[in-house]
Amino acid sequence: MKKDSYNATNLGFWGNLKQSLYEAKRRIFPRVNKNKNVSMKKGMWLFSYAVWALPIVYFLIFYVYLNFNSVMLAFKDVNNNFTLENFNTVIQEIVKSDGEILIALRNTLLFFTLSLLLMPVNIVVSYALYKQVWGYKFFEVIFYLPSIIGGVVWMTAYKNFIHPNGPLFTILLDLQLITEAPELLANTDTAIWAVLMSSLWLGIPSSMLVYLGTLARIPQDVMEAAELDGVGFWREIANITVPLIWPAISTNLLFAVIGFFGASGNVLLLTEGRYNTTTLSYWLYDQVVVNDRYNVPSAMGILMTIASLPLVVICRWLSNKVETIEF
Amino acid sequence: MAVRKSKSQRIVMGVIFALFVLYAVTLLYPMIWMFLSSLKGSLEYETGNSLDLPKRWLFSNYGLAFESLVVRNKGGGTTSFFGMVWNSVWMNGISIVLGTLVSAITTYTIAKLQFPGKKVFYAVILFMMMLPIYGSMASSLQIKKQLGVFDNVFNVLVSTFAVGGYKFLILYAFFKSVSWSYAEAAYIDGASHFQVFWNVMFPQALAPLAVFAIQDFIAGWNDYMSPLIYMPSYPTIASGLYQYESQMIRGMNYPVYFAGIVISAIPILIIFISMRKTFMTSLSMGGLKG
Repeated sequence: MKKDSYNATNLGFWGNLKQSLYEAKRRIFPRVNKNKNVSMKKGMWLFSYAVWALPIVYFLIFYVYLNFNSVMLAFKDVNNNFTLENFNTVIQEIVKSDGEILIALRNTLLFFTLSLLLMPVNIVVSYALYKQVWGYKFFEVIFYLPSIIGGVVWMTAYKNFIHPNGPLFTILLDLQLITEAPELLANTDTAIWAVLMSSLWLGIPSSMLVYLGTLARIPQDVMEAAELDGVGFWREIANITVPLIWPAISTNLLFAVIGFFGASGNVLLLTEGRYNTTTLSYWLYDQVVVNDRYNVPSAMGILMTIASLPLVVICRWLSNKVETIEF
Repeated sequence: MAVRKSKSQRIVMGVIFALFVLYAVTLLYPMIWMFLSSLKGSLEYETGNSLDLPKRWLFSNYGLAFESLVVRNKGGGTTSFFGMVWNSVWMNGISIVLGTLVSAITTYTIAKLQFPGKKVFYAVILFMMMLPIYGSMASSLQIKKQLGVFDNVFNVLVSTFAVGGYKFLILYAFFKSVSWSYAEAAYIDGASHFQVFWNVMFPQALAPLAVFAIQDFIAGWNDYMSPLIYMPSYPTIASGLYQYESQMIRGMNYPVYFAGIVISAIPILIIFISMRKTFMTSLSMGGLKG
């Protein structure tokens, strides 16, 4: 998000509103368009509010009240009595050396790191397609499959493909690279890496269309000038392409960092959290949906939300710092 | 343009090409393998070499998938494969049609009309995007159960009124860029606000809305989480197949299950193949510039 994203709404050419209203508005949002040439159409307010009525009700219930209720749940026990025990339970689980939340935290960090490491890969993949690497039309189609075919389909294929009797280990055994086929997804040492591997596998071309779309908008002459100067592939990416598509990159980065605590892979489909593969978001799901526990997960959720606030602030600050190149 | 690529450039591109081929194989081969396995006999799959081709190509597994992939849903009943497909269809149908209309008309009022508080709405939507809230699932389930919009059609209906997200931003930018002169003319002819939206603005927005509708369809078709959480008695094709597998720990006929998985991917593939051009060009409008 850029700094003036909501100030961009200066389209007020129906602005024959009462002076007092302008002042009230200006107090909240300093930049207000004062174009008063067009007369106010009758019923515009009524129409707009009618359109927004149900979305507003939805927002009040499923955002405002929902989050309020979340806080209430966090401070209550199952019998609706006030307690701080939920937070204590969470902290105990973090402090304990093999606590489930501690494992979830570690795994969340792993998934987050993977998503960051994949970003430069995503950019190089998109850039090579943009540069029309041989067969790029074919690759574009194939590389788009991970985004459109469902997780259940991919993970069924993946799970059975890396099964001890599956093709992967059959090939490796035939080549005598290994002597025994391990059960990667049913082993505490390897399961998390196998789940991470699945995210890596499907994540290589992600954001491809966003980057391709952004690259396509770069004026041809900018790119041609760079090429005529004879810059190499990597320098072209680092010094020309990345700055030009920085808005798209920073947006991806921003949402990845903001969503840090939500980072997760296909835990449910591959292991259902067993063999130390749980993540924070899977743990929340498991507690609420599978175990019907509402109070401790709500407390955990509040702690996660609070912990992510500094990330949001830092990200906003950073994204306001970086200048964007206009073309 | 005819800029000659330098030698090093060509080497890099060659290496990338080789890597791309390798990666494409890792994507395609497991899928092809699963398809071939779906044609095997159950015993043949369990005991045979997984690299072998099917001895006899049992396309009958696809018929069997419709008959035998029955899932016990959490409402206590069972759902057949047809039932799962139907659940996917009606749930997605409602949420796409209603959701598209709601997001189009609400975004339109913010982008083009003037009413007190609209900037607050805009700011709130941005705020919701920027602030992640975790662990609200428990609260949401509790409220939905209390209001009676849990595990029934109302859950789908109610959820269509959630406005916001990147879709809002893109539609907002789109409506901003649409010229107001047709609307002006329509107003002069005495059109109501709704008529202006429906006859002037909505038709112009069909292209991006159609792209969103397709995106929503794909996302909804593949979504196994939300049906599992909020619609447990209505397993969709995605959540149902997942549940079937976790219920059948032993004695599962894998080839038939694979057949079900392959069937579940077919609608997506058909849409993708028939609309590849639209996909590849117009989805890129998601590319944010500034």
